Amino acid sequence: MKDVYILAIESSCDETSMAIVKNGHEVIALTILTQMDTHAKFGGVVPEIASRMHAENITMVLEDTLKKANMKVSDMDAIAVAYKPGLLGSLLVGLEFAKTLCFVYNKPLIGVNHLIGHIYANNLEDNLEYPLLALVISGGHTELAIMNGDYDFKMLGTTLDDAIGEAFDKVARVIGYPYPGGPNIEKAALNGSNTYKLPKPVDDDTYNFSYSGLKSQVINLVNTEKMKGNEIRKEDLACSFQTVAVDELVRKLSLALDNTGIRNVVIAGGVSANKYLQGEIKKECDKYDAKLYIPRLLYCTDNAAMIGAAAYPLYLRKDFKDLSLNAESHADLI
Amino acid sequence: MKTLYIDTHLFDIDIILFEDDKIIKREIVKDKKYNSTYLMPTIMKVCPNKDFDEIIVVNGPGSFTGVRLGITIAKTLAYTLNKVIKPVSYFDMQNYSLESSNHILSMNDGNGYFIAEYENHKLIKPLYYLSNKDYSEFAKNKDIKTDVSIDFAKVLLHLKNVSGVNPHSVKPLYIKLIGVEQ
Repeated sequence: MKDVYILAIESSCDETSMAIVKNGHEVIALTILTQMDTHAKFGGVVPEIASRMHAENITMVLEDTLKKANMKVSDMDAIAVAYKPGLLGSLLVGLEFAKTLCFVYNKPLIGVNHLIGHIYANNLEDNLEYPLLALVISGGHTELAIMNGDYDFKMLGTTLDDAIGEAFDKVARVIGYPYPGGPNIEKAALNGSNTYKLPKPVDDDTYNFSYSGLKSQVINLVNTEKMKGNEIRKEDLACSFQTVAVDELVRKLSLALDNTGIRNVVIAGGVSANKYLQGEIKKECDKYDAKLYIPRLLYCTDNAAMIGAAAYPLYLRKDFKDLSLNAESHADLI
Repeated sequence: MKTLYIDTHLFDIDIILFEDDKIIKREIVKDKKYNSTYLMPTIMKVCPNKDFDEIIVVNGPGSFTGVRLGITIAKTLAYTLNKVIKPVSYFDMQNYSLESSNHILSMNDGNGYFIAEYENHKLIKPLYYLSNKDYSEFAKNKDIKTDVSIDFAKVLLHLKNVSGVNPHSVKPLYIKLIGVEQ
């Protein structure tokens, strides 16, 4: 079969990224222009600034990516773009850019769900085997689903309120760690112990998650200690929070492993970069002799290579979009 | 000489293909906020064969998202097709269209007014933005032009002598401050 080259574009949050992916598995070129330093000054991503930077840099990111691959847009078989979910203004820049390339070069447009992209990040240096349990954990999502094949999802559970990454960021702010909160909690927790008693979030047998209660517990604890004039042991609190937050994921995953008999597990999304979390999930998978897929750090955080990987099955089934496609800020896996 | 004109500065889409200063084809789509669904299809309707020599794109002021989408498409077209690109502000187009040489122009975006002050057809200070309340004070006893119709022949004639810019460098005019800047 002829090789398939897809130019993929990702601009859903604060990374302008493009990649050329061959046959859904091989990354020929990848450029990630992160805006993290700019947003760090404001203590979080400022959507309008993110959109501005995408629009300023997007043609240069294309030039870089093509140069790395020594290829032209005309060599591509399709243009893929993450069009949901994410910051609307940011998604729109990538989407209009992608449509323009399709118009200029007469290429088909593939619309990719950014969350599904995170799952397919695991297909870049490995081959996903089905059925699998997919745990998508990021700043906006906490979802557990069964995947029986390409794009064949059955949702098991989702968060009832905050996403896990959101809880990490908010707790970081309350304890006093700067943006990006998640990685800073993880770093602090390395020097702390699980000494603060925090309640389990959703202590039941559903596959649902909840992180707003846990977050509130941490906020209350910090406020109470402050009122009493007590010093917070920041590293211990970071560790205690992280332990309970991750334990919740492990417990639900274990439930799914028990109930479904599935022995392939994927973790995906920005929070999957957390090493403590990776370790705990690995331990649980080992208990079940289940195979665990974890993307390389480069592919854990937002990148266009995963969009190219997720676009490939859509390319094979000719699932193309016309150029009136709109972006959507909210979307789940299915 | 064919020119593709892209204007998305407020909530309307206005796409024109000129042959010299004659309009060959024009499509206007009214009142489409976040006009992603309509923008590319409209450009394809006006210029399906991509046969143009230069692009004129309105770089603002106006809706952040509206202007940005027009700019993103225009700079990508110019970059990939290796065409000349000339960004122009909607106020400058009005200024070129007017007979008078000294004027204050304003444009309402729903929440307030963008203001441009010209003497001898030249901007005398950077564009700025006033809330509706400040504007009514400002506008007292002033002759402010709000709805100058564009004379495209004049605009094109003027832009003939303006050289194109590097497509990578094209960006919107952001006049209004956003939350974190205030």
